[in-house]
Amino acid sequence: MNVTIIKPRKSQVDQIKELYSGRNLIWAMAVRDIKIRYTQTILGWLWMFINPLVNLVILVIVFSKIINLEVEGQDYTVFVITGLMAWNYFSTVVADVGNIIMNSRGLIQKVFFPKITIILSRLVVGGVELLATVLILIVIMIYKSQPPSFNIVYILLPLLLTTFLTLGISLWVGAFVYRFRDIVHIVPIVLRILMFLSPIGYSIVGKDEVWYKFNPLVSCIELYRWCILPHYVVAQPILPGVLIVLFLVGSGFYLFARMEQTIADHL
Amino acid sequence: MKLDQQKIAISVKNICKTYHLDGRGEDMLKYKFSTMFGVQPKVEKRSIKALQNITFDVKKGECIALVGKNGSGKSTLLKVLSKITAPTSGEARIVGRLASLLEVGSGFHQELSGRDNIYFNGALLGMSKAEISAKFDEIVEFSEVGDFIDIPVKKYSSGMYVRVAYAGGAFLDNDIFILDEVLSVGDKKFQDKCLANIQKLKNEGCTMIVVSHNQEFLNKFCDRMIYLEKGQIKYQGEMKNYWEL
Repeated sequence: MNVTIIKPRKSQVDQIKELYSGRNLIWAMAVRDIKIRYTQTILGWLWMFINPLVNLVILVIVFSKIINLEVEGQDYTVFVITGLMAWNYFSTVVADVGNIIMNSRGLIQKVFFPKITIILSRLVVGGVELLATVLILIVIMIYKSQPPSFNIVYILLPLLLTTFLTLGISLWVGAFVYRFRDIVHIVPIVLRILMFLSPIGYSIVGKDEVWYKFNPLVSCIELYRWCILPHYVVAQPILPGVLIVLFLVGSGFYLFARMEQTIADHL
Repeated sequence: MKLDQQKIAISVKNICKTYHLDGRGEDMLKYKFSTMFGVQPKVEKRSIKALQNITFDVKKGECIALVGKNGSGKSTLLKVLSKITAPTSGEARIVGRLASLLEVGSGFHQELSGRDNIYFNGALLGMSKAEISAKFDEIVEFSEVGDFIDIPVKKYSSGMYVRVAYAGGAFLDNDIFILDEVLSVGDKKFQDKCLANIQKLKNEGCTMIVVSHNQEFLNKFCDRMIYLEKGQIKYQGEMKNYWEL
């Protein structure tokens, strides 16, 4: 029979055990959120495609048709989608995390469960949304009869890097949002700035501004492009971004684990 | 002695819980900065001692009544035992799987069907899908919602909602149950059903902590009572009418 010890402060090992025993909840929560999201809508699942499509069309019209931007000889539409694969996933999850935690208040104060489940299940839902973007990409590549690069076998690398980056930032947001609700207002502003500082719709070949060097999203986007676009050469080293992501995830876990123990008293 | 310890389901030692009332972010920052620079903080820290040195044991299979006026700390104690909030000091040891029916249906989402909600609620209580499936028919039968089980719970009558919510918590395999005013829900017929269910759980050897203001109900089921006043245990022992304390 399992024994639970209740103490003022849990060790991180205890918290990992709790997460393991509550692992079913991550999927249950993700399935619930996906089901809820499209109930009582006429278009239903189609909404999942509309969001990335709108982003895509705007970027293509602005950069390709109005500004006539050239992107290293690549097809512009495909180039943009590879950027959106990283950006859409990152930005929708990060924009949501603060509010989901605040809205889970009723649950957090009535039932015990590992709070990190909220973030992990949102990452799963983000993965399902990403599938929509991938489908759009595949359709367009078939339509333009453009085969992917052989590096496509490494596609898990950018996927993992983007997931970990999103996880790290989400943990940071989650660790502070319940005490400083200002974060709910700061996050959308930062995201808007970040969108322009990330090479989603343009190439950074030949640019060496500092905000590209220390922006881990650049590493995610460049890796995606290296995996998908033929003959693509990454514009800047990937490693600094990877290190920043590792730091964000590590520190994020630490901070979130600390706040998790007191969140019910402050939310 | 060792045998004795194995029979104890819940052991609570010197649990204290202090709530700080100034949890506002900006106050916290001010406080942290002033202490950091060695300045006497201008913001004062107000706090409430919700629980003070709570110590008791519950044997396996025992049913404990937890009584006290509003604000005496009953809910806080239950929240500590259900791990929702951590104690400020002290320790508790719980042997077996604990389910708290603090507020039935708190994990329910209005847009989801009764079926989806039962599964989600089970996952919330740490159950696997198979474990819930094993109990699912029993839950549906008890809650008497029939075909409504696949309709969003927002379309349920409040009676149906409560029945599903109660059954969704009470029918899962657990060793220890925390029942907080569960009888304040549903009509007479459903209350009788709940009572029968609680009796059944008791016969099966489940341990229970019951909060209720219904003395008749407490006298019927509970072996012992704990009376809380202002966060302290004022009486612990045989069942008595709590207004006499």
